[in-house]
Amino acid sequence: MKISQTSKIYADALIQMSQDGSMTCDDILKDLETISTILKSSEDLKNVLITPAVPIEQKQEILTDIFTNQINSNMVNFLRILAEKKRFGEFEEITEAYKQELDEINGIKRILVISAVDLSEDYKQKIINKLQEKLHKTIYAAWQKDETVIGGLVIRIDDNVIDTSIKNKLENLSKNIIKGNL
Amino acid sequence: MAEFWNLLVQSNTFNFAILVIIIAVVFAKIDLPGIIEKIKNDVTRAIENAKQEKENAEKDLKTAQKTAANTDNEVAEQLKTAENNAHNLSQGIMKNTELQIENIKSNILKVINAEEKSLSAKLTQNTVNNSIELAKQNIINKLNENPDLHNKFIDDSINEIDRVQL
Repeated sequence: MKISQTSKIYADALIQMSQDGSMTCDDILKDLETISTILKSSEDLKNVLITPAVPIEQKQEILTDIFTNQINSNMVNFLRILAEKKRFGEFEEITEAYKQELDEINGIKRILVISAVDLSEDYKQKIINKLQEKLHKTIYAAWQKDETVIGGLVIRIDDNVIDTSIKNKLENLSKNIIKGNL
Repeated sequence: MAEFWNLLVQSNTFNFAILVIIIAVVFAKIDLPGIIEKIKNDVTRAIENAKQEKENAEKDLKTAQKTAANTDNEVAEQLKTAENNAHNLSQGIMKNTELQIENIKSNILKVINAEEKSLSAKLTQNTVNNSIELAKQNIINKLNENPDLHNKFIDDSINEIDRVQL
């Protein structure tokens, strides 16, 4: 997901809130996930909060009514500010930016590993260990099976991709042969 | 008396005398010398004018003849110039045409070369693609026959993590 600079600023504000002691990081994350779940369950609610046709005051009233008993009051205020600044449409980006910031603070790196076959637990641990050694961070890995890679691994870390799959090797070979012939 | 009178009138001599008298009277009445002088002068003037006009006409003729002679020369000159220009123009056109032909030939050769290369590249691409596809199928078959081979590739991938800059 591409995250805008504005979303990062709002995410920073949430981090600040946790550092001020108003709420813990985990509580903030939990509330963000609650908000996200509620918004995903009602497309109408999301549209009302985003559309410019509805006055800001009305949006803020709706947010207060819906979320007061669901999340911390600081988070309700945060949502009211988003509505006031017409940034409610960026809520998902803000949540993602917050998660990334939190991971950064906690020294966590989330990765995705794609393989042609299911990996054994041994291999999973080997991969995690290797990357922890390399990145000096705690690695949280997600695992995905995709037969089109044929063999080997594709590892995604943020915007970086380590592609050591057989598929990639064959494609490179093809390109090199063509280049060499012309 | 009447007879006398008739005789008189019928007499030629008498008639002639009457005539002379009449003429004398008329001459006395009109300025005949003046008129004759005037007529003489007019005729003389007319003759002089005619002479002058003749001279002028002769002069104009001479001028026209000279001009005609020059015109001939000028026309000849201009014809010569036109011929030269036409010759030079045709030379120029010929040269340009030759250059254009050369250019077209050269461009055609370039296009042919490019097409050859493109065709060769396509054939190479097709050959390579087919070869890669064959290799891919081979590898998949080998892996299906021997799943433990996957471990080798996974090990290689894990080792390659060391070589990557992050």
